[in-house]
Amino acid sequence: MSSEHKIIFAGPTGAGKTTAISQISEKPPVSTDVANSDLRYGKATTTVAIDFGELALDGGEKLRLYGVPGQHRFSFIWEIAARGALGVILIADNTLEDPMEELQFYLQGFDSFVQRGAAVVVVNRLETHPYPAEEDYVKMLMDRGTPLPVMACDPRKKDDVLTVLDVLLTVC
Amino acid sequence: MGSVLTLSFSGLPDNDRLVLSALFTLAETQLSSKWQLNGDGNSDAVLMANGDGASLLLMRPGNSATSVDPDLLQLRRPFQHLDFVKALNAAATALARQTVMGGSLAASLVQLRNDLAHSEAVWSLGLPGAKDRLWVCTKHNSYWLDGGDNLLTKLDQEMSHLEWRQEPREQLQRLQSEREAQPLFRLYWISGMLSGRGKLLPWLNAATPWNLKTWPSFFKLPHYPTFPRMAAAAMKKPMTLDDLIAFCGGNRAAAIEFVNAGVMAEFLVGATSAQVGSAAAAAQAKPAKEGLISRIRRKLGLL
Repeated sequence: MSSEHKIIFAGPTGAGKTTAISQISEKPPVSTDVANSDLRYGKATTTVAIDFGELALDGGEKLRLYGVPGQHRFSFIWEIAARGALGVILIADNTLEDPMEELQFYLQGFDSFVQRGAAVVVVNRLETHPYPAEEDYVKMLMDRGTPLPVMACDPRKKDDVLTVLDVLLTVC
Repeated sequence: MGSVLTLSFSGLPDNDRLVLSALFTLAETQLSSKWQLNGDGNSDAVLMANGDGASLLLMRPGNSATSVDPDLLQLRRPFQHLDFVKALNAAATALARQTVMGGSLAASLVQLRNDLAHSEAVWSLGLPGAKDRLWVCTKHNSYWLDGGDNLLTKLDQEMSHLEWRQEPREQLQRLQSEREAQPLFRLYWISGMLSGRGKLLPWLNAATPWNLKTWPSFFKLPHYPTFPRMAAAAMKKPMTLDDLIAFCGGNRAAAIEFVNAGVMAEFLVGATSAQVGSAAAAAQAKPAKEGLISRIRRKLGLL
């Protein structure tokens, strides 16, 4: 049995992947941030390589938490990172113009996880941007035949991130 | 409810009283429930004089006029034996249904939903003498509320003494322009959490395996921290109440409230035996990860 296990965090740039990982990692997440060249997003720096945090489990096993790059041009990395992962947390950013359309890209990119239900959709910034609502995401996922849990989550709050992980561990 | 239903007469002319008493004796063998005439007026149903005969009124607290076809409860002169039998049987059915459901906000909402599905009508509920009210429109899938969720708690506590009131047609426009509508699933959900009072709602069966039909919008719904985990579990495979209790660390109260709320909002539905069978087969075919998941949960403090 493998002694290393993985959970993947995916979503557009600035959605909060690195922040979510930092809430639960035992070590500060190792990230590669560089100047942002993508003008669609407001962040001055953004993750362009896989960044990860880690948790040591009993018996010497490790749980690695991978944040994969949000920019579409790095999507080739997703398959490599996701190989053998327990499940995927797909983060939608409700401040984007069409967050559900953006989410489609990630649903397709992680289709094998989505099809077997080993994924959770997380909606960030729902407090300030209430639409699309959680139930809109739920409906969209049902309409495409891939029902998944949909959770509002503020990645800055550890309890929110833990609840999402709890749900993912239940469905994966 | 006792095993015998009681009937009394009110305001009937002597002739009508005599005829109806005789019909009552004749009807005895054709009634679905046992009835007895009650002289003191404190009865389950009352036959009350109206212009052209008598109306059978159901007297159980919390009863709603929508619970039975009102025509069935009208007896017209000359009184017919068969009409009387039908009226008493319809009344017995309505009273039995009401007894099963109990006087709670959840029970009355189930009744309202069943009887008024897709109706344009606005119905409202409030405490006697209080200004704050709850308004419901099933067609618009919306409710409006003055006084916040606290009012729902009070309504649930007092439900056995309250009656829904149909509002005039123009009330819908007024509500839509003056108040923010909330989705009905939220009202159903909250009523489920409130009305069980620590027990499964009386019309639910603890042995039923429940499937999650739709993921609940927890952002809008009051919930305990274990609710999302239970929802995820019921999304994966049918779960009985006992399964859910075990799955949320033995927290019986939380599991009961989750089932009550989930069923009321129609997020949870009873699983078919085929679904239960295929979930069991899938569980057998799947490599066991429970040990690993438990170790991760322990590490994260989620057990």
